[in-house]
Amino acid sequence: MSLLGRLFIRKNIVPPVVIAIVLLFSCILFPFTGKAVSFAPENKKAHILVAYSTKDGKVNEKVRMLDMLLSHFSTHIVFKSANDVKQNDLSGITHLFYYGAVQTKLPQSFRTLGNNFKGSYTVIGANVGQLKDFDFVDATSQIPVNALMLSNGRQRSLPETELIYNTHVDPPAKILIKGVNTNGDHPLLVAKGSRYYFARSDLDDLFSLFLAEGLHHIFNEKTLAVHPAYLRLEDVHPMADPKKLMAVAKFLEKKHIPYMVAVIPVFKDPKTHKEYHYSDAPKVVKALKYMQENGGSIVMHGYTHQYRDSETGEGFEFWDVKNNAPISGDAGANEKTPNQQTFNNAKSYKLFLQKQKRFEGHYINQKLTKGIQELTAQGLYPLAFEAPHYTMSLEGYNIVSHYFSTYVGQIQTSNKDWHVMRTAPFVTRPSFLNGMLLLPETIGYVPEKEKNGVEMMMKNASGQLIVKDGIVAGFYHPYLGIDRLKKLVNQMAKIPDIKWIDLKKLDNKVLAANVTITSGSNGLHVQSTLLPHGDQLKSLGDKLQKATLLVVLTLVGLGIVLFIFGMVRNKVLDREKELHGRV
Amino acid sequence: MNYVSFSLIIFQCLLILFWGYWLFISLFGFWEPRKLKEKSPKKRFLLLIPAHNEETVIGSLVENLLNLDYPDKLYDILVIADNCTDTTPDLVHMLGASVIKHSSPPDEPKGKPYAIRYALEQIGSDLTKKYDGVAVFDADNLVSANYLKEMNKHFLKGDKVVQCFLDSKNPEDNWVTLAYSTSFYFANRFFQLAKTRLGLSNFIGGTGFCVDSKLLEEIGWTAKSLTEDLEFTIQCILRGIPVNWCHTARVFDEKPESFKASCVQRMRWARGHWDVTFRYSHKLLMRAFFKCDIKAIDAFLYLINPGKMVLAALTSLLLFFDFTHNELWVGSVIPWYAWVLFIIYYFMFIAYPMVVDIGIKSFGKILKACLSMSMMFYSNVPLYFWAFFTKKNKTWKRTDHTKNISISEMNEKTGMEGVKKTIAFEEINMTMNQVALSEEKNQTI
Repeated sequence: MSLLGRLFIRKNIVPPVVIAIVLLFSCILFPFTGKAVSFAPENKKAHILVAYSTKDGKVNEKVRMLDMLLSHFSTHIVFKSANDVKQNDLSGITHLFYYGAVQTKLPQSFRTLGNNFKGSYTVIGANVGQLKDFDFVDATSQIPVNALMLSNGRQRSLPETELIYNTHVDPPAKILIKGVNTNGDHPLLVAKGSRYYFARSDLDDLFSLFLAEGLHHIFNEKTLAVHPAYLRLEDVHPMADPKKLMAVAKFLEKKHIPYMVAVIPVFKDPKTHKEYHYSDAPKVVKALKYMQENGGSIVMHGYTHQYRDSETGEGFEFWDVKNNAPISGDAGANEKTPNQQTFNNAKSYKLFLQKQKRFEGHYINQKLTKGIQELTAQGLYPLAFEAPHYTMSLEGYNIVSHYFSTYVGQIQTSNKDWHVMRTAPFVTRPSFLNGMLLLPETIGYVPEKEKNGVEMMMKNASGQLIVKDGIVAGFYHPYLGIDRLKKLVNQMAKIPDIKWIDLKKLDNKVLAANVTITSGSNGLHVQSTLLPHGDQLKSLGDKLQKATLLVVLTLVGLGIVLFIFGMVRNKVLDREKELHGRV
Repeated sequence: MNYVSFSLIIFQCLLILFWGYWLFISLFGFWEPRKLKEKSPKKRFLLLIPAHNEETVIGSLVENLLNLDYPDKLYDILVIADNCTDTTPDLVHMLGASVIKHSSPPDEPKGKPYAIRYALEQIGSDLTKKYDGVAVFDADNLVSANYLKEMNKHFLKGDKVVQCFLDSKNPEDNWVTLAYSTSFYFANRFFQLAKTRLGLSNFIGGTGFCVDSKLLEEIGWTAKSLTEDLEFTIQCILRGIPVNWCHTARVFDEKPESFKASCVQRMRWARGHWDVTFRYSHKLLMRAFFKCDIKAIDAFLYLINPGKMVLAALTSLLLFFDFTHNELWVGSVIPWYAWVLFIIYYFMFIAYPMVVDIGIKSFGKILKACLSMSMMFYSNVPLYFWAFFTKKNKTWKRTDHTKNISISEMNEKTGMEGVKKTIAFEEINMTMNQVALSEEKNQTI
């Protein structure tokens, strides 16, 4: 027995030492038990430069997808067209990425810079043959694959056959991820020393998931297999059924599961054009407050969740879906948004775009401010934002980032088409969201008329488990009742290594005029100069305003009538005078 | 909603309701004024004209007053030559009116109120013995021939203070005179006439008013403020005596042509208004409260009106700033469609008296008047704002008068009847020039 061992036994100090060691390891192994909870590692040491080749040399939705993946590992990211990269751009860079989204000839300067780069260098997609450091791969043609597989043998089938670069790898390069077809497997992510190659340009669906897992290797992240998860109760508006909400709240409370409630501050009835605010629905507010106090966190889900004549919860709010364009005018205004062809010249179109952006900015600012203020006035404290149907322009996300530090859901990565919707496989902080933490939704929801909705969600969830810290997040409409929710929650709880996200324990900051809401390890704090019964007072103010206007407008109306009669009478008198004069 | 937003909504509502009060009153300004029954001349009047170096215009007024449609024996004209250094007293004397010369003592400020007070002191007890009423005019004025006949009717009816229609000699000179004139046309009908119909008190307008001599003796001409007419009005209301309105007799005065001169004049009015507001508001409220006098409340609301105007302008600025900076913590209570309606009504407000009282029928002229008056109104805001802080400055800056128009020319312009007999004023003017020349000659010799 060693000296140390004898000392432990003799002095009977074994238990305390063991406990101390266990505690020490616990702290290292379970980062989530720390003071401030964070699901995005945010390796501050990694400084990333992404050089890309796109059709027009600008950042597009493909590059933004890569942004969502890389921002999980560091917030120090710079994106530059490969044509524009200079020597000093590589200063301090630890990880260089080249993303060949299109086939193109790379400038010699970039090729040389890449060759001389000593840090980790990863190439994704096209043009790898032009890079000297990557002569260990030969990706000249593409081959079809129908599944993807990790080096540990875990694989997932692709919904359709997809093409990857047919990569021949010279030893001693290692294959980290493979594409699989009936003839065998083919390298998808390969590594040789600090050089990595990913043999696919489009980073959609399963490819982004597998690349995400591969990035852990590239960044040498020793993350444990812990899957953050959340469940979001969706589309709760002032006309929601408070009984159903309470039933859901009691169930989740009993299960000790933290969850999110996506609330819509105003319900707009398109038929009557009436608006219902939370001040009109005290029972719903009571239920939401109960949720907030017992595991629920409020997420602001738009302001009215509708545009033009659509119904709250159904309509889009921050995207003109009819024209598939950003919001450009008041709801009910021009049905058809002009496009470039509508204008005679580029100048007119540019002016229109400027006007549109001004309007959109005003529109979003107004809705966010009102939403935050109205919810706060009711004692409901939103901690994150979710755009209705996840649709919003990039300018819109930028505006949201001035109000919310956290965004929940999926992201529209194109400014031209709302269908280009992407999600990240893990919690991340994409640079194009201007610093907002993204808690992505990854497994969908239970559709009202789909009997196997829960099963479909669980199938999606299993895909997420490919990534060691892949997030399992979905949503549920409380109006569907409690039964399917019970089934969903029970199924989700069975996922191994699941860790429920408690939004209140994350560092969040919400700012609006007269309102500041913060949350984190020190709990939820609200600073507000809003009136305690602001909504009631607003309603009183509105009534007073209407009454005042009615009085004044009635007087003006009477004045106009008197004016008309007076003028007619004056005319008659003038005529009479004239007649008398003639006589 | 926060405290600021809620307070601003309430504040805006109060401002609008206050404005609604004037709007309500204005509704009684439509239709023709009621004419008083014809009465034979009985009352005796003293026509008082303070004049400071007014040789250019005084002749026309004296000539005009000498020819009023009223028995000569029942009225006297007295010009107060206030610190005159020109030929004003001589000219008046030659025309056949009385003159009283006033030289300010070194310790007394100069100005019209002091001149009137001096004259009244000089007249002494004769005021009530010889006259039933005292009418005051400015030297630049012209008066319609029926003025004293109308005053006679009012006094026989029992009225103690009567203000006549305030018209303009020079509305067409430029936008400043047009704005001034329009604001008077508007006020005559929708403020003064409307108030008379509602049984409220009118306000003396500085000239063309006639006061019961006993009342004038009782109250005196205090001359404590720059707007002694307003002060006198309030003193009457505090005694329960309303000022009455006479829409059928007119006085024409000369409006300042330069914007700067108009600012100086309005600054004087603004300072005087604030001064009176601070000295009399509480008294009016006390009377309103203890004697349930609606006229006192109405007068109080009139006194605080400039305050409302400045506050409304500041609120508008705030709303504009809020709108342009997307702050959104305060919203405008008035929606855009209401603004459109207000603008239409504003146009009608201006148009009606111009058509009915002045006989202008050109749409272009009315529109021009609207725009001029708007510009003039907005320039009032900084003046009233500044005057609030300088209300103790009681320096009287006189307005120069240069429009020598005779009443016959005025009658031609306005189409009014008013001249009983005509004296060739030009002849007297020529004589005056000859006198001046011979005096100059004598001095040279």
